[in-house]
Amino acid sequence: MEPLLTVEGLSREFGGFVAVDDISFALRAGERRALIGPNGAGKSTLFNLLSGRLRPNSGSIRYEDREIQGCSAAEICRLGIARTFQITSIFSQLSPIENVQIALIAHRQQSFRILRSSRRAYLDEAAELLAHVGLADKHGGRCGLLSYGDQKRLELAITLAMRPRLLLLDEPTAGMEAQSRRDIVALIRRLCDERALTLLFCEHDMESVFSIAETVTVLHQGRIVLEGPPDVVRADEMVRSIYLGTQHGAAS
Amino acid sequence: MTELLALESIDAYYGMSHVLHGVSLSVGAGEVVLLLGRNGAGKSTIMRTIMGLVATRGVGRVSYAGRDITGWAPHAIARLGIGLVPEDRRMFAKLTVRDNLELGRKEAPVAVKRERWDLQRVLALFPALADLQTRRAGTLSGGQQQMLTIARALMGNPQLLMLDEPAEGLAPIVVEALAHQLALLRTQGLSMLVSEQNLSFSRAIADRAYVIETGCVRYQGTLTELDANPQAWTRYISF
Repeated sequence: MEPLLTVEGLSREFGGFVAVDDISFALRAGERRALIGPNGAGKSTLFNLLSGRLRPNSGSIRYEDREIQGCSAAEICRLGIARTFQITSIFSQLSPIENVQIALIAHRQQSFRILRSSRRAYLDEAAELLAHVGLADKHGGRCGLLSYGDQKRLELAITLAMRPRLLLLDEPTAGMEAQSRRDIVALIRRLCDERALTLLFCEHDMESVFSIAETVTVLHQGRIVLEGPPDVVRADEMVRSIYLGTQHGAAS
Repeated sequence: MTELLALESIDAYYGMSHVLHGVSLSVGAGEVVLLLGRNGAGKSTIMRTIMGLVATRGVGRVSYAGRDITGWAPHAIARLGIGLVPEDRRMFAKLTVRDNLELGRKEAPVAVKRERWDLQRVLALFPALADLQTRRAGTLSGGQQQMLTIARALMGNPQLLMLDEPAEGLAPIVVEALAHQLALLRTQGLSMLVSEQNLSFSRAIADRAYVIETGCVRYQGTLTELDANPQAWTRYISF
């Protein structure tokens, strides 16, 4: 099958520090892949390059047979690559449904008009997305008052409003207690299945990594040092010594 | 055990929202106390209240080493020897890693017998930071910023160290090293108040735990007691 995303020779440096160093990999449509590696390995930089928030110094990124290196973040998003951030990014003063409505409006390139209220725009569609992530009963009130787990769900609903084919999730279960973590992991798996999404995600919680990913790519000092199925990666001596430590080794 | 920190019937608000309801808890000298509870339960607010970053209302009192510090300014509380590692990794983004660490430097009171923290020692704890000393803090990755925040708090040689989700965003191998170091600090008599979702990390170092739910203390006890009470686990934590 043709890959959905093909990255070749991608590099990015910051004032002499090479954060992403000649990275190549391909994601096939429908694949769920985790990106792991030590702190500072270049995971977030790679995400920023793929989502157009940063320009690479060299290399190419092909998505659905189209070169997207050099496209703006907004263009890339409209092509169907949506991402979330390590830090939850929502409008905390607005309600959950307003957050999703704004995403829908933005994705369809309609701006707010001063004389026309946007309050009713895409209301049904927004409600449907909220229901899809398990927030059917949480349309109103300020988002800032939602529990952290619910904010993460909302973030996923906002991301889905972009109608993505490829989802980039940066530490989707960060800061959650175990039960919410498991709930979000189940939600991510369900969304990927139901919407035939391709997924690339960074995560430090190994339980989440191993229960979502089919393939794991290990990044170290800006380079890919290993790529393979979860059990191969988990058993790898080098990965254990640079990243996993003793607790998450082969025995676990 | 001598009581180092005590909260008595603390009420706190964010604007109109009443977020802490009559919270009472204590940390003894040399004790490591865990705050457990779901996201949004009020654990961070408790730490911010102790640090003077959230004002209390009502009759509640915060006392530290026998002094009433209710209503004190955060810098005055810091000078008493309370250090906070906040969840949101605040740092001086334009300054180098080394400058951030130097800014956190504060000598320990003479009476403290622990080994003093200095640049060399914090860099030995986080070897990853040693190579980044001249980098601007704002260019670090999320996990590296987390290490820097913890290292900077240690540079202040606190008597009571409050860690809000310290393992968050750190590679598993770094979490192991951190757990090892905190266990070592505990044997040296450092008092700690720790909020952490990663229980395999926090259980190993804690003496006692409080379970916080919707701004109230729902349960307290030693970890052995908590382990022997599956109902409390299921009801309040369900890990």
